[in-house]
Amino acid sequence: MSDHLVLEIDRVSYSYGGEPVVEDVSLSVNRGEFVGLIGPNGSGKSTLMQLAVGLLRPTSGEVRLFGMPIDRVRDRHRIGYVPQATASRTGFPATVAEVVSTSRAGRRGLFHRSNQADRRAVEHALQSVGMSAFRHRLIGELSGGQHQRVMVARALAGEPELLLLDEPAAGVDAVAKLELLELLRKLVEERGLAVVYVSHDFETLRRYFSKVVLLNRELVFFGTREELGDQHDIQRQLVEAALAADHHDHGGR
Amino acid sequence: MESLIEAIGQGYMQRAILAGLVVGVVCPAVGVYLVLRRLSLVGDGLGHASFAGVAGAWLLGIYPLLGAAVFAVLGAVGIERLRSWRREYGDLALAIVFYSGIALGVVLTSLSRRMSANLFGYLFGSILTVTSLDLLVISVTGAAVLAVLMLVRGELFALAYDEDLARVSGLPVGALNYLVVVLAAVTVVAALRVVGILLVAGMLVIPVAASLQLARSFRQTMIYAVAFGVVSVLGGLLSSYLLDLAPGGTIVLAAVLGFLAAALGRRAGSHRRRTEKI
Repeated sequence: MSDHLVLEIDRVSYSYGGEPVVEDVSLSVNRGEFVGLIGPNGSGKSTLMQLAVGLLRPTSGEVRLFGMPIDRVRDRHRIGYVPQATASRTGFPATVAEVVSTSRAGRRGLFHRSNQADRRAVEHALQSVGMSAFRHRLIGELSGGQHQRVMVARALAGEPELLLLDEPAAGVDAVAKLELLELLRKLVEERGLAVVYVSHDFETLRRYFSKVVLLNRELVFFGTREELGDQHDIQRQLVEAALAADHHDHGGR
Repeated sequence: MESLIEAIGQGYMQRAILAGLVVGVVCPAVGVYLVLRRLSLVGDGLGHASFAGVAGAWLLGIYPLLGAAVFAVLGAVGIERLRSWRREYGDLALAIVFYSGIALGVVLTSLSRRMSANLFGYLFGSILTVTSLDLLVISVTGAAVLAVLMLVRGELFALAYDEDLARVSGLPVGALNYLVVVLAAVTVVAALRVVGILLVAGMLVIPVAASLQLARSFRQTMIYAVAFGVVSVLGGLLSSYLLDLAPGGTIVLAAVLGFLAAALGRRAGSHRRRTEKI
C-alpha cells in the first residue's frame, strides 16, 4: 500500500507572526485519488498547499512526498503545482508555449537542453486544456480563465504524479471549470494521477472528488465523500466552520 | 569618410570594434535576466563596487580589471545575500553595495594621490585605449559568460518567470540567483573599459528595454536585445569618431535612441492595428 502513498501531511502546524494559520493537520493522498480541499476564506487552504509543495516549512510536524521527508525528495518534478491566480505578469515577454515549457526545466536536470520529448509534452499539455491555438500568443494577452488554463497546462507538461491546484477555478466561467474538472478526472482515472483541488465552492465536490478535506485552520473532516454524508450536512459543517473562522480569524492566510 | 576607413585600418580602432562587439552581445544577454527579475539597477551597484576594485588595484599597482573583478563579484554576492535575507528590501541591498563601493573607491583614490586620466578612463570608459591584454580579457570573459548563459538558458528563464514555481519544480533557485548576479558582475568588468563604471549598467538594461517594446516571445526578447546592443555599440563608436565625442557616452546615447525608436515603432504599430480593426 505504501508505494501508493503520494503525499502525507503528518500533524503539521504553521504559524505566521505568532498567529496559527494551520494547526495539527494530518492527511494522506494516494495514487489515483481526487481530493477536494474545501474551506472558507482564511482557513489555511493555500498555506497547507504551500507547505505540501515545500514553499513553506511547517512550524511543527512533517510533510512526506512519495514516502520521503520533503527535504530529501530530489525529483521534485513529480509534483505539479498551480498556484492561486495572482495578477498575471502582463508585461512578461513570453509566449504561452514558452511559459508551459518552464515546468520541464526541473525534469531535465541542469545543463540539459530541451529536446523532442520536452516539446511533445508541452504540445500535449496545451492540447489537453484546449489552448493549442494560443501557443504563440503572449502570456500577458490572455484572459484570466485562459491564463489559468495555461498554468494547468504548465503543471501537466512536467508529467507530475501529484498535482496540487490552488483554487484553479477562481475567475473562470462555469463551462471552463467543468472542463477542467473533467480533464482532471480523466487524468486521475487513466494515469493514476493524484490530485488535490482547493476550492471554497463545494457544489461540485460530490461528483468529482473521491476524498474530501474540510479545513478550518484545523482539520474539520477528512475521508471519502460517502463518509461525509449528504450535501445538507456538508453545508452545515462548512457554515459552522466559516462562523468559527470569523470568530477566531483575524484575517489569517 | 576616408579618415574613418583609415582609422579602421589602425590597431586601436580594430581593438575598439572587437571589444565593443563583445560588450554589445554579452551585456544585453545577461541584462535580459536582470530586467525581467526587476533587478535593473544591479548593474549600477556592481559598477560602483568595481570602482573600489579599480582604485584599489591602482593603489597596489596591479591590473585594474582584476581588482574590479574581485570587488564586483564580492558586491554581487553581497547584494544576493542581503536580498535573500530580506526579500522586501532588495533595493536597499543594492543601495548599500552601491554606496560602499563608491565610498571605498573615493577613499582609495585619495590615498593614491594621483588621480590620473587613466582612472578617469575607467569612470567614463575609453574604448579607444583598449590594449591587447584588455581585449583578451574582455573576449575570454565574454565567451565564458555566453557559454554559461546557453547552458542554463531554460533554468534561468523558468527562474525569471516565477521563482516559486521554479523552486517547486526542483530547480536550485538559490544557486541560480547567485549565478545571475555573478554573471552580471563578470559582465560589468568586461564592459568597464568600453563604456565606463558610470555607464556600464546602461548597456545591461537599455537594449533590453528597447527589445521589450517589440518582442513577441522570450526568444525574440533575447535576439532583439543583442541586436540593439550591437547596433548601439557600432553606431555609437562610429558617431563618436565622426563627431569627435566621448565614445562611452555616445554608445549609451545610441542605445537610448534605439529605445526611443522602438517605443515609437510600437506605438505606431498598435495605432495601425487599432485603425485596421475599425
